[in-house]
Parts: sequence; C-alpha cells; structure tokens
Amino acid sequence: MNWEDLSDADLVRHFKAGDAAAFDAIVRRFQDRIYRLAAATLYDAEQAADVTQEVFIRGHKGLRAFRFRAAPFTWLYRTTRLVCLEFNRRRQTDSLDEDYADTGKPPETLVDDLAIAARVRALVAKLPERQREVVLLRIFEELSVRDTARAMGCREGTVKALLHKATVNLKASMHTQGFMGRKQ
Amino acid sequence: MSDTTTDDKLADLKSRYRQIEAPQQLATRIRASVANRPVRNGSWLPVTASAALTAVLIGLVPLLWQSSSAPETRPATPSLATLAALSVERPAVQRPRLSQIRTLPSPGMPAKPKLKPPAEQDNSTTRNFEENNHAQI
Repeated sequence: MNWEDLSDADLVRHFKAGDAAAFDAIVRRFQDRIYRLAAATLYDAEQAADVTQEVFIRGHKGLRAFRFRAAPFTWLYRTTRLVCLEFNRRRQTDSLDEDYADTGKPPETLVDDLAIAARVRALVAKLPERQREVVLLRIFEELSVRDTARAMGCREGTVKALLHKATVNLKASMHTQGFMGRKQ
Repeated sequence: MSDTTTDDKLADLKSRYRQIEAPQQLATRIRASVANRPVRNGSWLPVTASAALTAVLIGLVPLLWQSSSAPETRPATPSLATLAALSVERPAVQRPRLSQIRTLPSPGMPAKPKLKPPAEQDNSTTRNFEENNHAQI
C-alpha cells in the first residue's frame, strides 16, 4: 500500500485498525513539522528530537482513541505544545550539566538547523503567546487559516485578527532590532 | 528598513526554517521505543461493562414481571340485589344508661385566703384626732 497517497485521517484509520505500518507512515509524514515546532518552541533546542519522540510515543497510545473531531495534526500539535511546556519546565529544575541529546545528525547540520530555529524563536519570543502560535503555524508551517484555527482551538476570525496584529508586531520588532534574514 | 525588505527577510527565514528536517535516526528511535511499550488494549472495557449491564437487566426483568403479574386484589363490586338483602345488625353491646355515668370527683378548690386588715386602718384613732384638730383650727 502506498501510504503517501492516503490522507492524514485515512492513515490514522489504518493505524486504529491495527496496521503497524500505518504508524510508521504517520511518523514519516509529521516528524519534520513536529521537530521544527519543538526546536522553535524549546529553550533548549537540542531536546527537539526527544520532544518529537515523546510526542509520537504518546500518539501511539492516544491516536488509537482518536475520534476524528479534528485533523490528526491538530492532536499532534497540541501534544507537542504540552510536551514542550513539560520539557521547558524540567529544564528549569534540572542541572545544566546534561549531555546533549543524541540526534543522529552531523554536528554542523545540527548547529545550522538549531541556529535557524533559535532565530525563529528569538523573532517570535516577544510576541504574546497566541500571536506566537499563529506566526509559527500560519506563516512558518504554512497551515491554512482553518487548520490553524483548529490547532489553536479558536475561530478562523480570531486567527486572522491575531495574524494581523502579529505581523505588525513582527515588522516593528524587525525594524527596531535590525533583524537580519541572512545566515550569520 | 522598508516593508519589502522585511518581507523578503521573513520569507528567507521561513524557507530556511522549512528546510529543517528531523534527524534520520529519529523514526527508528520512535519505532523502537513504541515497540518497547506495549499498548494496553482497553477496548474490552466498554464491552465488558455493557455485557454486565445487560446481564443485570436480564436478571431484573423477571422480577419486575413477577411483581406485575401478582393476583389482583381489587374489591368485588356487589350487585344491587345483594346490597338490598343486606341488613345492618347492631352490635350486641349494651348501651350504658345515663344514671350510670358519673362525673369524676374533682379536687376541691383551696381555701380562700383571708386578707389581713391593712395596717393603715390601725391608726384610725390618730387620723380621726387629726381631722378633729383640723376642724378646730
């Protein structure tokens, strides 16, 4: 079966029916988005791989009870946000002498990716939380207004209003900070 | 910094952000960690609950049926002829006579206390004397 041709909901349906290969397809389809969002949300971006792993572990259990009231990515995004909160909270309590997580990527690539994620995080850091979510989902992840609204649990009009305010604030922030878009 | 420049830089950052990919070994790690955690199948729970509920209901229905099928104890409606043949018999108890009815003796009232004459009446002589003197004045 060609998993790539199936919709998100159909993948979850196959997984619920007991097809283990469907879960691998779910991981392949969403892992990059989850990893990027985690890296841009975490204070410690090296833990993005751990967060992604934890999200899919919870997904392996939680998606079995998925009722298709929202898109599967909505469920995964909310879980990602929750796990990021937990990791950020744990980072404040744990010691700073931890080893870096083993991500399996070449160090230079990892540093480059994390640097970009860190710049995205720095760009949206001063925005209010809801505006930050809108920017990450709508602008950087290019979700539709509808999917963004579902992921955030609000109405589409709210997303549009938040996006307008966030764009104004982003541009003002880039003006004042002299934000550079090129690789530094 | 113009808006166009800002938009370009934002678009540049976005495109580079979207090139970020998860580590290649991550999917393997996830698969391994999921395989180590067997998922408890909780689908038996609602099935068992509904089966238990059904069994209880099946057990209760005969009891309800028995109570509803008990012989009815509705009073029989007598016919008019039967009612006419009925005669009311007075009880054979002898009625008491009025002379036999006595009032119970009530306790007597206490004796009326005798009031002492007021002390002012003892000086009636003095008072009369004063009045007489007054009359003389």
